[in-house]
Amino acid sequence: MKRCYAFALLLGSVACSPALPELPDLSAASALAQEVDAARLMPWVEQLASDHTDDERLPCSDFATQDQYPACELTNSAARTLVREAFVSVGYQPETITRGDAPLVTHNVVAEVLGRERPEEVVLVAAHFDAFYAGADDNSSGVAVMLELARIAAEHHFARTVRFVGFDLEERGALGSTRYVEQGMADDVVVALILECVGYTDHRVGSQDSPPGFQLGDVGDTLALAANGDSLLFAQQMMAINHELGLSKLRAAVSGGSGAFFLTGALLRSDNGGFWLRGIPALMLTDTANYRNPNYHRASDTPDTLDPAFMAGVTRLVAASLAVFAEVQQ
Amino acid sequence: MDLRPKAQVHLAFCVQRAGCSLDPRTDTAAAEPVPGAETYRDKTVYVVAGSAATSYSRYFRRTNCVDVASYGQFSPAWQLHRAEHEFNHLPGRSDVNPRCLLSAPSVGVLVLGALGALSGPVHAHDGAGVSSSRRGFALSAGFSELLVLGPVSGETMPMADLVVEGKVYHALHWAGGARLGFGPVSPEAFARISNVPRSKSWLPAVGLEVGVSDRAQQDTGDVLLAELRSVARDGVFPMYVAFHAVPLRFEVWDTFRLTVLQLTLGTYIAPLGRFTRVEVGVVGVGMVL
Repeated sequence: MKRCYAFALLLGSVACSPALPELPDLSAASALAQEVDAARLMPWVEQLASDHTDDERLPCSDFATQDQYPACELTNSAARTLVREAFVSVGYQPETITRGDAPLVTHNVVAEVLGRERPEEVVLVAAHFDAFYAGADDNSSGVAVMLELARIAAEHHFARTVRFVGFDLEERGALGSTRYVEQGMADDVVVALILECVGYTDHRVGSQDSPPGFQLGDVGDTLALAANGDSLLFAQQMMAINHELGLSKLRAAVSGGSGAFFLTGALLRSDNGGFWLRGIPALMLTDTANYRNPNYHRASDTPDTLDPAFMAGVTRLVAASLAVFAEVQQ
Repeated sequence: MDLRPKAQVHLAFCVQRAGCSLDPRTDTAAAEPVPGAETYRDKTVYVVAGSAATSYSRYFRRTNCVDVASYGQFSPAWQLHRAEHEFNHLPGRSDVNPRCLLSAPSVGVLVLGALGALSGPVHAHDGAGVSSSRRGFALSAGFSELLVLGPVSGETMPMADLVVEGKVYHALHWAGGARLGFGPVSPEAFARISNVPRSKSWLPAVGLEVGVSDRAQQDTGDVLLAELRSVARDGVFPMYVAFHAVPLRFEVWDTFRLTVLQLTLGTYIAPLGRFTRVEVGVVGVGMVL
């Protein structure tokens, strides 16, 4: 009998599951998504790629060049200037936060729309602006989406603070974001939306690989949403928003608990890693980078390889999610 | 990478074909006896291995660990419904990954151990010579390779160990010992409780190990990801639990012991599953005192 009880208890613990989260009226979210001007995205990418190509390479003596890691081809300063100026151009007063010692000094660029009701609660949207070679997909695509979202957000009010961060030196081990989190600057973050390579698609069967433990399908035409236990609720909400509004082809790769395990290490390879390790909810949106894009960390990662329609869909999805998470006010 | 142990799943098929139905879904194979599966003991071995393999396979495929859900405007309705169902059962609401890390590799060890244990009598007094448990203790030393896997790191290091083993009751043995790791040098201490069935000179063992070790907190990686690794190491409790299996250990002349393979798979206990240990013992020699 005891075995029966134990079995029933086990069965119950496995069978019980939460319902999908209830969403608010999505009309405001839909409206914000519709404000995305897709025509603005690729010019940002092209400008960033051009800046990276012409920029001075960062010191690389401490790093070994390996396959998919061209250590001596990294640039960041011109892109940082562009991000800062782009924020200024739409009315922000960005702050540059400098941390670390040479040669690994990081300059994160931060701009925000202060929340009207709960300014101490922050929804963070971030993309790293350092890149190897031209870095069109990795990560000018993410930066372009962030800049377009910043443009839209500047014209609205939110209950929560919306903060945009251009992270520095992600390619040196997520340095900018790790320092940002470790120095307590993300303690007020309710959820972070990390944009990491969001511009490349390949519609051929067999074009998509998957990291160990995950199955991302065979066709590289979806946006992947990486979440952990701390950010699961936000992932569910984003999936539901996407379902309701039909914005992008989306797959979620969810790791249980903190997500910080060796089997799920592939999901920590971007700026969400530092957030996950400290228990701060963060979602990473990505085209899966090297699991799909043959140009990953190569000189061939150029703007002409990107899918502008895909990027537009990503931008609309994040805009709608931002409207819900930060509670856009009509 | 496909983590499913196809060979072991195949073994489950073998069991089913021998008449021990494990999974109704596999009940399509011809009812053809498997050579060598006629005896009760062999069937038992197959059932244990097959059950573990089936659970292992299901574990990764459908129930826990990591999962993927998808939906969107491009999905057909049935796919959408399935995705919603899957998404409702996402593992993130529990500590699934630590369980994965504990159970997934350990199933392999348990299978090995079960095969070893069930291949011989359960009790040690089988008349196959004077066992160490009758005479007191056994002392052994060996070399192994330890792999410590973290979320953004993976380091291997050679280890040397010294172990004292004695009997608790019948085939139940205790063991305690120390390891010395190199690069950087660091000591570890551990204790084990094991089932040690005996079949003539074959002396396999399977059990649990707990130990004290600060290897997860030592960083030998390069500068890339160094700060993120430091955050990952922060707060890791220097104690681990592990499954231990010695499938290939032999005692010769009732006195000397030779170990050619042992596996220890475990995790540091807090945060559970963040750092996993895989230790492969390559050689060990010992003596019954």
